[in-house]
Amino acid sequence: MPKAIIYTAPECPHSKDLKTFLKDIGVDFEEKCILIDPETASELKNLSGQIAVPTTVIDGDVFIGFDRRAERRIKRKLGV
Amino acid sequence: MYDLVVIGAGVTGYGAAMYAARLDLSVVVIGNVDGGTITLTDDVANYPGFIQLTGKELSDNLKAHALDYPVLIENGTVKDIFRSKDNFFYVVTENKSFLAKSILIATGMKERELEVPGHDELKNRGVSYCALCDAPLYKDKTVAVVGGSDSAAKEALLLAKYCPKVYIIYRREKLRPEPINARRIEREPKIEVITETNVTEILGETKVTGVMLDQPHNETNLLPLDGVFVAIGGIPYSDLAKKLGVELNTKGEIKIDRSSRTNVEGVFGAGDVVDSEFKQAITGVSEGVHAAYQAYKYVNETEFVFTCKQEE
Repeated sequence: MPKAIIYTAPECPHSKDLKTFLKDIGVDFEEKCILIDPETASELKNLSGQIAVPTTVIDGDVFIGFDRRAERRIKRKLGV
Repeated sequence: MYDLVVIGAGVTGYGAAMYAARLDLSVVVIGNVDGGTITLTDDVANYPGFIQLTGKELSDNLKAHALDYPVLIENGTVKDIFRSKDNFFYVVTENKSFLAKSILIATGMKERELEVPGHDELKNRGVSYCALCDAPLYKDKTVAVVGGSDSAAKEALLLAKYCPKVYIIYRREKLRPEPINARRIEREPKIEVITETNVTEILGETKVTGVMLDQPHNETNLLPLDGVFVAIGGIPYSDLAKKLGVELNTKGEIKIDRSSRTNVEGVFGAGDVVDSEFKQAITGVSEGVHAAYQAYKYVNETEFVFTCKQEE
């Protein structure tokens, strides 16, 4: 299963939900907190056109935000 | 991290965003009604620089002006907002969070509903809050506008283009439209003004057939009608402000100073949601522009320290 890169912020409730979801379905992820340095935020903006968290990148596909719809799309991408 | 998150995608929000972007702030506008309340108005003739245009045209112009700069416009609803441990703000929508150094609340207000028997049952069955949306449905019918403000007058003038008879029912002694609209009403023979009178009930089974008045009109309290248009003011959308500890007045409006600052550092207010007496598109935009400048000063004068420490 491919690894996910996720952009998060510490107090974002949707970021917490995304991490719980990825753990539940057994997906490894690399977490990038957008507050760590300005480059991380710029990287996120280049990927998605905005600085919103959470954002998930899997094999080059970008999923902005996290809700039921994003959950379905991520599952479809991962084939789970 | 954005320098400024504007909550509310009306003319106030777009005007503020444009100015903030000109001041080199990174800006996102979040709203669920593109253009805001003014899009429900067909006739805007008091916005300086435009002799006459529709509310939608005005908001589209302001939006286009904002988008001439690197402004992000996000279609969404803000569900939660709070200040982080590190002094910036989290603005949480249905599915994502935007982080912001400063906040402009330009959320406007919603229509105040007429609280009389029959209203809830007949809403959208003859009871309307938008003449621009519904007036053509009442062609050749008799209707009434409830309210005495300039908005109520404009609703009546629009309805008179379609309807042979339009009543304005107002609880006070005298209507209070702008003088130009007062003169238009006086000159319009299809409009009849009934003052010092309240609607006490809206009548009808499946659609509106009339209203009951608390004072007789032409010797009867029953006024037969096909439609009732309500324009009795608004209720400010200030819940998010309240959550941040922003001070509100007794009407629930955000209290701001002359520079659109609230009592909470980094939080600004503008437009219909604030405590200004004269609520116009131009005054809202002006307040938004003041807020943009104050946000610029606040962001540049405040030190923010960011940490990624997670709370387990």
